[in-house]
Amino acid sequence: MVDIRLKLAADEFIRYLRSSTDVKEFHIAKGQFENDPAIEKMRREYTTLASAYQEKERRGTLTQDDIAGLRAVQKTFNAHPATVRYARAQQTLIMLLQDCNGAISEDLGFDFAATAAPTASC
Amino acid sequence: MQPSNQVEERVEPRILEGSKRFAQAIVESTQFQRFEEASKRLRDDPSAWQLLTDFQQTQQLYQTAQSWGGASTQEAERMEQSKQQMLANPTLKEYFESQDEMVLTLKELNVHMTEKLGFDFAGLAKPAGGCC
Repeated sequence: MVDIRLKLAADEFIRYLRSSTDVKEFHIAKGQFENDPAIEKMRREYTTLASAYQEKERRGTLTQDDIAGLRAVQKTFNAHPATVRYARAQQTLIMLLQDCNGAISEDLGFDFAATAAPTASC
Repeated sequence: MQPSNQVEERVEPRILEGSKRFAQAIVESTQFQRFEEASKRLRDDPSAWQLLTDFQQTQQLYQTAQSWGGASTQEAERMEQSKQQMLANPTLKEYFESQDEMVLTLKELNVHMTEKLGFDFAGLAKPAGGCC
């Protein structure tokens, strides 16, 4: 059970983070990325092609056209403005959070994020 | 971790101050203080330290043998015995319990932050590293 003083300090920190340009931009970019119909269409197309790719690879019937088709969708997906914006916003956010984590960890004497992060599953 | 002077140039002062106040609240928490006290006791207790070192060495030997597929029952028993000796030591018992309690508190804090921020703070901020 987290005590109230800790929660209040966390809430103040969260408030400052939420009001930062980087966090706002991340949420906007994420929303656009997740709700863009063209992105959604490409995702579905990619999933279908990737699944067919794996099946053909397993059967040994993979052709250069299959590889080129998958790469083309991937390339268009990566170059889409919503993807680019989201990827940039995520990268900027990560840099901000790492800086904050550095400041927190300096006072704790150990890495806060590495300790507090959910246990990774492999 | 980035050097402080560069961080101050990149991060808004109030966010940095918020980070520091948050860190201070953690440092002042009962869980952190208990862990600090237990860590100090461990540092000042050579016999407990020896038990910990013995266990770590036994564990390392066992894991190496296991990775070669050559870990024997005897080695497994030796490791278990070393573990039990370690856990029976009051200094080490307190150290591990306080560590578990503090880690749990930090994880709960991160869950709270994640809910309010809409992304996993610690998951994104932790250093990139290999898995397993």
